[in-house]
This record gives sequence, structure tokens and C-alpha cells, in this order.
Amino acid sequence: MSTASRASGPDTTTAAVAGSPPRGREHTLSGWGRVAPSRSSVIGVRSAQEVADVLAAPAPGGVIARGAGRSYGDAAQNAGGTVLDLTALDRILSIDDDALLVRVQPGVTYGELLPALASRGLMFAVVPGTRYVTIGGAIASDIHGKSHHRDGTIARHIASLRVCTPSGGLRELTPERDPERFAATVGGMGLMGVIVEATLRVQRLASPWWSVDSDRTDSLEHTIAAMSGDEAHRYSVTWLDLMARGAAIGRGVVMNSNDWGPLTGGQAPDADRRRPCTDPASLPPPRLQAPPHFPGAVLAPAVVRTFNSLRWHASKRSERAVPMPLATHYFQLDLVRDWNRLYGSHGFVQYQFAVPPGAETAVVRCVELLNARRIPAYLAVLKRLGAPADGPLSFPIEGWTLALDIPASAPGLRPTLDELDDMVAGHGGRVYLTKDVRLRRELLETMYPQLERFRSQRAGVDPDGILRSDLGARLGLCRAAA
Amino acid sequence: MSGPGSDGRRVVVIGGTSEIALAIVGALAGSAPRAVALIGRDGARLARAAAALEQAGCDPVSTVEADAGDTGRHAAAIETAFAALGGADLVIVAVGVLGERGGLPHDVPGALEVLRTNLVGAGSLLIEAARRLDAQGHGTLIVLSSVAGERVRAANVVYGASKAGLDGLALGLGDALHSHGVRVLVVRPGFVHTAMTRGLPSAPFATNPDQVARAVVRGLDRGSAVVWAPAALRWVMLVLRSLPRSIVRRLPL
Repeated sequence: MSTASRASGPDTTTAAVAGSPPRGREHTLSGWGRVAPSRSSVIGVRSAQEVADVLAAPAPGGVIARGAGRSYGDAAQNAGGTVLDLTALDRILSIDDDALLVRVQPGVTYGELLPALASRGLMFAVVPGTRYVTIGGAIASDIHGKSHHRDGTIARHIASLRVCTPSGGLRELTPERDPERFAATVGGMGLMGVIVEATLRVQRLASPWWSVDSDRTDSLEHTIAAMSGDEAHRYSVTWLDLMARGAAIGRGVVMNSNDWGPLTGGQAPDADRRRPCTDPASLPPPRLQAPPHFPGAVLAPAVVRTFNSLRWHASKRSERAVPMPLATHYFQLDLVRDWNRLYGSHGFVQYQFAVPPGAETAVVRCVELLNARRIPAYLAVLKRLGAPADGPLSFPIEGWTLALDIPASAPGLRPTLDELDDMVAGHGGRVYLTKDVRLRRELLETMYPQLERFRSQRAGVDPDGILRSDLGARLGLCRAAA
Repeated sequence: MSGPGSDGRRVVVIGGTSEIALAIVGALAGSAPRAVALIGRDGARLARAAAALEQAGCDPVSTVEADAGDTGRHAAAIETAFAALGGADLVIVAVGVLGERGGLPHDVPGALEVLRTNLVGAGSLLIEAARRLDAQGHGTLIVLSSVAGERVRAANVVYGASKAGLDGLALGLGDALHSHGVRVLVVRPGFVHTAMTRGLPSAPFATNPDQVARAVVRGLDRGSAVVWAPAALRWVMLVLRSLPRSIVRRLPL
């Protein structure tokens, strides 16, 4: 088990002694962006039955589940109420090579799951940009990966779930038998029940190598054009340099890739390099560690501008079929452990929105507005999305998604993001609730027009409003704190 | 944007007829609708303030009558206000009277009244509100202090001392509760044109309630611990604090 996956909130502890009933300990929790902390009573649970016990006799203030604390906003905290820490439920229960099914507890992280699968020649299709997220959190967020246009969201790869709800206790949930409830639970932000087990469909992996094509672009227009044509790749992601000045803003590196496939003669594709990768399926711990408790931000606009410029210039204009192992292909975010600390004590906001095809102007307008307001977006990632999942709160819609990391102390950030929300909603788009910490409640129904579907499912599983999170209370998905 | 920032929807105003506090609520309501509970002394003036906030789009607005001097009733008043909103995200503490200006007070009972209202009364309400936010696990306190409290000047000794005490209490609570999810924003305006200062000669760096409100919203969004209004006062006061007492004493302040 990776220790870093546990270094989530300011302090998460599993405070249970064997044999005693689970009891809560007061902790101040925040999301990965370290914005909007609140205090909850945290109960470390060790079994599905303990989850059921807490939901059967909840303390006032409601209950929400929490995994690694890697969602950016306030989805996995519950001011004045209870938070169930599920990180101790971290076992991979079984891997069935024939049926291509893996059964896991919700606290298993991608960093634990993927190497275990790869060692048996298996792979999971939907992988986020960091290995530290838990499977339970990934399902509650209905996450997508770089292959969304091919593989969809994680919902498509779930065979069944075991979910504990306030009204029904522990129950199996499958997309076939109970499609409506399944659709609301996956992407339901934890407000449809606590996932205590998941059975996922996995795929065969010919080799733990990926073949990456990359193209450097000179402007935002050029970037969008370069991304628009490609249909030949399973994975696609683009890094944008929004700190560049003038016409260069929005230049970037477009990375398209495919599975490498079987190795010829068992030879690793990078064997001719000076330092070939010894174990391409492994996820070594990050070599760099961000300093703890650094009061100010290590990152300043000038620093990031220089870094981005170096990164852009260091990329070749065009590269084809570069071999990459698991860690490099999927988890470039994990190069520096605890990188969220680099933003200093004020934290950062990740603003991620999706707009339909043809609404590229929304992406351009967003970049222009941030630039005009001098709001720095240190990290910017643009992706294309494919057909949406069925879930009423599932984020991806067909089109484009732009994710921006912005220091929370940037002057004028809040009104500017409010303005961007209006523009995104006007284009028929939405923001990603897993990243959100500030969306105005009034816009939720415009962005998620199937909200009523979610509400009616939620009324069935949680009629007394026991499941509660800061995000849910803020957006009116559940009742407010007492 | 550290903490819930200016997003908090449920706002309790202690000193519910304070022009600065109402300007802050007005500025907040400009970006999103807010539910408000006003705590104040004068029922008629509270009702007028509530009507004005409803006009500005706040919904619902409730009022609670309580006197800063009646500390025995403070816990109940705060409780009622929180209950009306189902909890609070932002609490504005804007309790204060100016009293007699100058050095050695001539009106001793009046001077004690200033201390009782501005320090003991406001402090009691601040502590009760902080207890509620602590139990709730989140929330932000906005405490109206004054530049007069940062460096108590001979021209305004009693008022300055009362604000200095409140300022210290608020900052200390902010540090004590930081790890509990509770934030404290201390607001130090200069001379503000309000009913409280009507008829007084204006001072350099004078400002108005709307400008103070804008500074507060900015401070909330930036996660500041202290805001000055106007912002330049921060540097003026930095210089003033650094000067030897023998020099400050001679300045025409």
C-alpha cells in the first residue's frame, strides 16, 4: 500500500481498535485543492458491516464516505457531521483472469490495482491522471481518462457494486437489474450510498508499453485544429501553456497514443536506450517531494511561465511512436508527491468544464477572459470527450473539456469563474462537480438537466437525508447542516 | 479563495443595523442570493434594514433583538439567529459606539460604556458565535475592528483601546480555531463616513461603507486574516507602528 495515498487531508487517521465499535475523531478536512476546509467527525471503518452500522444509527449532521481525499473540492467532507474513512478497506479481493473480472474494496487505489493487474497481463480501461485516487472515489465521480472517446467513463466497466444505503442496508447493484439506481450511484458524489465493494471488468494487456505520438503546437487555434482531426488513437490529451504571452498563449503539446501491443521477440521497445526501463509495469515512488507547511506559494507566475516555456521548447516539434511505460504514460501528475502544497496555504482551485462539439469558442473565450483578467492558469489540460454515460450527474458530454489549476488567491478569481460558469452553461456545458468548490447552486440544473432523475433516485435510497456532504449541502443536493 | 470565501449563503449579522455590515451583505448579495439573520438592539431599525436587504435579493431575512450590554442573553440570541438559517457560513460582528473622543475621558461612565459595548459586549457575542461555528465545523467570522485599534492614539484613547482589545480577541480566536475549519477576518477601516461619524471632521484616507464592503469581499476570497480599508492604510500603519513612541506622541494624530 502506498503511504502517499493516505496523505490526503491535513490529517486523516483510522482511529479504530479491533473489537470496539467505531468511534469518530474530530478532523479538519479539505479536498486536494486545500480550499474550504471544514471539521468533521472521522470514523475509520474496517468492514462493510461497520459502514452499515453507522448508517443505521447516524449521529446528527449526516454521513459521507471519503477515500484518499483526492477530489479537488468539498465532496468528501461534512462540516459538523460524520465522515467515513474507507482507506482501510484497501484489499484486492480477487482477480479472475478467465472472466476478466476484478473484485476490490473501495479504498484500493489505482497505484495498487494497476501493477497487480499488469503482472497478470491485465489492464483497466479508465485511468485518471493520478494513481493516488481510490476506486470508490473514482466510481462516485464517474471518472474518465485519456481514452474517454473510446472507453467512456468508469460506469461502462463496472459489472456490479455492493452499496450500503440508509434505507436498504447492504445490497448488490448491477446496471442490468437496477439501471436507474446504478446510473445515479455512479457519479452520485457519494450521496446515493456508500460503495463497499466493486467488481470491475478488465481487459487483456499485451505489454505494459504505450506508443505515443506528440505534436508541438504554436497557438490555441493551432492546438484545437491539431486535436480536431485525430480518430486513430485510443488515448489523447493536450497540455496547454496558458502562461505564454501574446499569440503564443494556448500553445501546447498534443499527445496521442495507443497500446503498444505484443513485444517483438520479448524485447522492450526502449532496449536501445542508455537507461532502459527495468520494470515498465511498476509505479515507483515519486523522486520529488513538495516541502510541507511552506507558508507562501513556491509557484509564482514568473516561475511557472519559465517552466512552461522550457517544457514547450524541450518538446520536439513532432515525434512518432515513442515507447512509454505505465507510469509515464498515465501519471505525469505524480512526478512530485504532494504537489498541491506548491500552491501555498491558500490552496488552488481546479476549474474543469465540458462543452459540446462546435463550442470550441467557449474554450477560446475562457482562455481570453483569464488572460484579460490576469488570472494565471498554471496547469491547463484540454481533452476531447466521446459519448456521455447515462448517469444524471456524470460529467463528460461529447465535445471538449478544459481543466485549469489556478491559485485560489488570484485576485478577481471568483467573479471571473462565475462569469465563465454562465458562458459554459450558455453553450450547453457544465462544470465537473468532483473539482468544484464554488459553483452557484442556481446553475446546477441548467448544467445537469437530468437533476430530477438524480433527486428521485436519492429520495428512494435516502429518504431521511442521512447522506450529506459540504458539496451536496452547498449545491442543494442534500439537506444543509443543522 | 481559501475557506468558503465569500460564497457562504447563510449570513448572521451581529450589529444588524450597522451601515458597514449592511454594505457587506449588499455586496455579497450582488453575486448570489443570501439568507440573512440580523441581530440588533432596535426592533424598528432592524425591520427597516431587513426590508432593504429583501429589496437587494436576500431571502429569507429574519431579525433577533438583543442588546450588546445584556451579555446574559447573547447565547440565546446567537442560537435563535443560527436556527433561523439552519446554521451559518458567515458571521459579521459589527458592534460599536464611538463615545467621547480625546485622551483622558471627562465622562467616565460614558468611557466605561464604550468599553462595555465595544469590548465586553462585542467580545461576548464574538465568543458565542465562534462557539457555534466551532461546533458546526466550518464558517468565517468577519470582525469590524478599526485602525484606531491597531495603534491606540492619544486623540481617541477609549475607542481605540476597546477596538484594540476586540482586534486581539478576534485574531487570537482565528489562530485557535484555524485547525477547526473556522476562519476569522479582521477588518480595520480608517475613517468611514457613516451615521456614527456624522458631524466629525473627515480624516485622511477616509472611506465609505461600500468601499469597506468591497475590501471585505476581496479579503474573504483571498483568505486574508486582516484587511485594511482603504488598503493603503496597511502601509501607513506599518510605518506608524514602527516609529518611536516619542515621535508618534508629537504627531498631530
